[in-house]
Amino acid sequence: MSVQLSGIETYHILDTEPSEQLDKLTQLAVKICNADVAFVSLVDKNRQWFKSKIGFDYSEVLLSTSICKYLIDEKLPYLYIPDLSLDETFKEYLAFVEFGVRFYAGFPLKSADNSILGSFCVIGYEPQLLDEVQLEFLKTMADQTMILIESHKLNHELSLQAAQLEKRSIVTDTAAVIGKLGGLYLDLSGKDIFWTPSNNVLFNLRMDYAMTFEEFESGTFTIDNSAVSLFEKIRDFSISLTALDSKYSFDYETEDRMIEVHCELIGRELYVVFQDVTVENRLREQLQMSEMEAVRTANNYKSLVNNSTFYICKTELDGRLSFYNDFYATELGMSPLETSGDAIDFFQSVKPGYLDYVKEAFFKVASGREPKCRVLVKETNHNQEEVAKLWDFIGLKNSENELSEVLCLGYDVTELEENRVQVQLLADYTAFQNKKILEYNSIVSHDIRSHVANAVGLISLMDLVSDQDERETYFRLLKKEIKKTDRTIIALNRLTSKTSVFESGKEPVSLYHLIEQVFELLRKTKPHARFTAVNNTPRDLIIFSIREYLENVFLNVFANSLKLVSPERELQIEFAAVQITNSILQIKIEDNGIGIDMQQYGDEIFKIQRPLKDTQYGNGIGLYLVKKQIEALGGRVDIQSKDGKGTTIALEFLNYED
Amino acid sequence: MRIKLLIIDDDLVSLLIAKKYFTVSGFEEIAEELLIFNKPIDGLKLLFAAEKSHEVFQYWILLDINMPKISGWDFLNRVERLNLENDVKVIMVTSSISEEDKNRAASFSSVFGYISKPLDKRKCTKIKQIILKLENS
Repeated sequence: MSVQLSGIETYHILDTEPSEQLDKLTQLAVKICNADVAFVSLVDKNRQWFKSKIGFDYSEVLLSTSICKYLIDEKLPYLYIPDLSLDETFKEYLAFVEFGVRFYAGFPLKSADNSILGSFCVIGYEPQLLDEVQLEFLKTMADQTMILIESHKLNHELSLQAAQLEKRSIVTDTAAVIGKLGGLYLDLSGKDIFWTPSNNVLFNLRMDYAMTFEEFESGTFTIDNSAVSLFEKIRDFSISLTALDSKYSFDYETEDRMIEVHCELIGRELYVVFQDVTVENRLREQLQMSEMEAVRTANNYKSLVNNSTFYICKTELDGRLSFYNDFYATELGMSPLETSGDAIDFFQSVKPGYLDYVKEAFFKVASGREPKCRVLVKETNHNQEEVAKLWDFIGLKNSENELSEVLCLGYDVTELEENRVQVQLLADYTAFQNKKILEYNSIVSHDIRSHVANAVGLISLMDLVSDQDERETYFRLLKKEIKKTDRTIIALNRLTSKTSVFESGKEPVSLYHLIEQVFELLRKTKPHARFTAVNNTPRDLIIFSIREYLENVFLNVFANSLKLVSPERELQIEFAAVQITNSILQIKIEDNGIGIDMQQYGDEIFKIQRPLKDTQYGNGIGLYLVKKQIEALGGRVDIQSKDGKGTTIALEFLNYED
Repeated sequence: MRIKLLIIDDDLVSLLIAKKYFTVSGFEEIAEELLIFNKPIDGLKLLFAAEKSHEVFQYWILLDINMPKISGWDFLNRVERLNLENDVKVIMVTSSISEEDKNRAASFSSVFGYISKPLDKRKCTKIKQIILKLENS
């Protein structure tokens, strides 16, 4: 048994207040049908509720026992029972048994979709007959009731929508205030205006103000501040227009804010939107300033990075370059813009002899064992010149604090390195001279001092003895001591003079063995140098000279050759010596290096303060020392060179055979 | 203890002056014998010989520094290397005025004095005092 439930809930009518209009219908029904009772019942799941009732007080009854249930269940077009007591079915019904109802006439309340919501009924306590007109009337009442119920439903829905709209309006207005938006709508032909409440906030107006169309049309605004000029402008725009659709935007500035105004006329309707852009403007200005600042900072850094003093590059942890500044790019012979292509290896320019050493330092940093490391590296630049660079490797961490890159800062110390070598040579030379001078000083002063001591001793003996012969002996000895003193002083003078100061330091030296020693020393001090040494000195040749001094001379000459290695061939140094007369020893040192351009540098080779940077032959200091040392030994030096072929240095020493 | 006094100097004049003053100031007061050597090697030979013959003498040596072949320093090194320190005591007598030499002399355990040339009476007396003081203590 299922009652065709009608979705009565969707009508929101159950348990509502009585309806005056429905009550009029039921009253009319009682009169027309001469009934005792008339009612409009609506059916819930298990009850029958009375929206309107005349002639009884029940607000509802149980559905299960009602006659209306029968009407609904059987889907009858109507149910008319003139006398319940005579009806086999209904004489059992509670209505008759309990309440003494004798007469019933009911029509279903049918909705548009044919579901039954309830019934419109009349009943009486006496049997009664209804004619056609009365029944027709009741049907009309039922239909009319249904219209009112539908109307109630519609009302209910409309009130809900109205509430929604009210809420939405509040939200919109609030949003407009928060969003600093305002608006104005004018229907110029319909003389209608819509004023957005948020305008009042935007223009500092009274909160209850709303512009009327008359104000706008007449141009006399009841606004108490300067915003009047803004609305006059909009009004002028609306009047001046000839075209049908047109737009107009302008900025309006108050004491403390900037408002953008956008007007658009569509047909005869004017839409105006106000937008407070104070904050946006301020933000935009700040953004512009920040941007300028960022650009400036970036330029600063760029100018720092692209200096012409430091090589700056970054590498991956495996040594591949990920960034390099223009200066380093130039050094490597690359275009500064060239960033694509295969990554270049940091180590590619390092000279082979330094590679292991540089890699060790680099990977100490790249592996995180050291935060930074400094190395002196010899490299080949794009001009194939050898340069000395001081590199600092510094580990860089990413945002996760993991070692991700290595920053390499390099500084060209070629000049410094050359100067250092030269200064070292000069220092050695000076120390050598000092030592010799000190030795001689000590010996000479001892000699003089011992003669003087003897003289003083002899004079005191002459005082001591009275024997004439003995005194004469002492006197004779005294004269000798004084002569010795004199000779020593003369020798001292000679020795301290420049040319012969080393005379007494001379010793017989086997030149062959000395040269072998020097080559060995060269190999030890310059382990990366590759060269062949040929020693053509006769084994029995003895030179009478100062060993250390000779070593120094030849070391400098050979070192000079090592600096002028030709890239096309391995260096060979050939050493030959021959006693050309009984007093002159000639030495020739030949190499197959790149030679020296004698026309350009010939005069300068032996000068110490030669500018170094513009030439690869920047090591004149070595030869300068050679010249000085050989001159001090009483020899002379001659240099011959074929540019590109090699250098020959000829030395001549005074060397007496036996 | 019987003492022998040795003077070792390559300079003959210096030796003459020393001998004269020690004769005049009476070396017999401190030593049995005064021995003079012009070559240091001769002095060393004497000491080696004495060591072998088990003679019981205390040798006091007045030693010059600057000598050819064997310098005063070489002499001292050999004395110390041969463990003769017990029998040999040295006073340096030199014309050197260098502080370095003076300090170097002090580094030898067998050196007990440093006298600058030329010798005279006063310096002889001082040498005698050094010897007497050490021998009597």
